[in-house]
Amino acid sequence: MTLVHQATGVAGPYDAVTEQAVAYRALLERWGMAGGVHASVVAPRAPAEVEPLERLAPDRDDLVLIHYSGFVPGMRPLLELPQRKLLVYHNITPARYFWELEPRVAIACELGRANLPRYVAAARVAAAVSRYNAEELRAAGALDPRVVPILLDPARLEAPARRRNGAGGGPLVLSVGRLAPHKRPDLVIRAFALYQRHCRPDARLLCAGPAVNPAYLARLQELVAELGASGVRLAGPLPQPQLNAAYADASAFVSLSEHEGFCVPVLEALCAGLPVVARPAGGVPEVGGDAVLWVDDDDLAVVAELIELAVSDAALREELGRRARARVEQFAYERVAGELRAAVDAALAS
Amino acid sequence: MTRPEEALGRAREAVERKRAEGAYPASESAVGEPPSERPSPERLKEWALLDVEPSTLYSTRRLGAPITLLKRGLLRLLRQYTSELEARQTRFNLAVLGRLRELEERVERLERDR
Repeated sequence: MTLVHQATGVAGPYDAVTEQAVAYRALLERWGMAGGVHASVVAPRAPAEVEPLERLAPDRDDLVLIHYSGFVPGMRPLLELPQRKLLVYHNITPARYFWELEPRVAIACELGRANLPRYVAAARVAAAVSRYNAEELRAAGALDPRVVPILLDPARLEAPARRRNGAGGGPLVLSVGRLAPHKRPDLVIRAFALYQRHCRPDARLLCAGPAVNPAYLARLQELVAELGASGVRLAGPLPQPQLNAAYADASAFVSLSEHEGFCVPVLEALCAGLPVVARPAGGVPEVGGDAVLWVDDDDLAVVAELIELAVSDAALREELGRRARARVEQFAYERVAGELRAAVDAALAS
Repeated sequence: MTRPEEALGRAREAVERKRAEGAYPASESAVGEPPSERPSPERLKEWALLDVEPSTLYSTRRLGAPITLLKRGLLRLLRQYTSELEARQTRFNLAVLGRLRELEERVERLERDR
C-alpha cells in the first residue's frame, strides 16, 4: 500500500498550514493512503497527530507531500529523500513586513522565497492553494503547477444559527487573522474608528487571531486608545466554537490585508453568510469573486461607508448572501478533495 | 437596492457628501507599506541565521546524560529568551551584510568611473 506522508516546517495551534495538513490526513485516511503528519518544529499545543520530522520514515514507493510556507532549516533533508514528492505551496509573506518587528520571521520569509525553486525542482508535482500562488510557483520554475484550493472541513464550521448582534449592543464588525503587519489590522482599527464615529456609535469590533508578538499587540492597543474607539476587542486566537459563534453574531467581516495567498477567514465568512468588505490582495479575489464588497481605496472613510452599507442595506446583504452561497460551492469539500486526489495521483504516476 | 457592484461608488459618494458637511476628516488615508529592506547574498544570509539546535547541547562528562537532559530542558524553558537574542543577533548580522553590499557596490562604481 502506497502511503502519503506529509511534512511541514512548523506545526502549531491556530496555524492554517497545520490545519490543512490535518484536513488532508482525514481525506487520505478515507483513501487508505494516510501516512504521518510531520513537522520540523512541533510547537506546544500542536494537534496530537503531528510528529517530529525525525520520525518520518517513508517506504521507497511512498509519496512525501511537502507543505511549504517558509524557510525552516530542519526541512532541508526532505530535499534529499529519494521518494516521490508533491509540493503544496501556501505562499510566503514578503519579508519587508517583518524586518523591523520580527527579524526571525523576516529571515524565514526571505530565505523561504529564495529556496522555493529548490523545492520546486525536487518535487514531481507542484501545487498551490490559489492561481495567484501557482503563478509564483511558475516563476520559481514549476512547468505546470496545479491549483488545489484550501480544503475546508464543513464540520468545522458548524455554527449556531445566525443571530445578528446576538450578544447585544450595536453591530459587530469582525476581522479574523493573525495580527501581523501585512494583514494591516491597524487599518481595520482605523476604518472601524471612523465607522463608529461617523455612522454607528454603538458599533463593536472583534479582531480574532494571535499577534505576531507582544510588541505589535501593544502597538495596536495603543492605536485603539489613541483613536478613542470603544467596543474594540483584540481577542487573540479563538477556539473554533467561539470563532463560529463570532461569525454568527457579526454583522460584517472586514479584511484589509495587503498580502494573502488565499485567505481562509474570507471563505469562512462567506460560509457563515456574512457580508464581506475586503481589499483585493493576492489570492483573495479568487476566493471572494463577486460575493465580496471590494475596496482598494487609500481613503479609509470609504471603507467605513462600505461597512455601513454592508451592515444596514438589507437588500444588499441578501444579494451578498445569495452570491456567497454560490461562491462557497466552488470550494465544496468534495470538489477540492477531487483536486487533491488528482495531484496525488499525478505525483504517484510520475 | 444597492447592488454589490454599485456599493463602492455609493460609499465614495457618501464620503464626499459627508465631507462637504464636515463629517470625515480630510486626510484619513491608509498608512503606507513598511519600508523595504533587502539583505545581501543568499548564502551569507543563510549563514547569518542563528538557529540553536538542541542536539548540539550536551554534557562532556562521563555519565553526563542527566546533565544533558537538564541542559536541554533549560534551553527549552528559556526558549522565549534565547529566541529573542537569536533574533537580535541575526538582525545585526544581516544589517552588516547589507552595509557590506552597499560598500561593494560603491567600490564597483568608483572603479568603473575611474
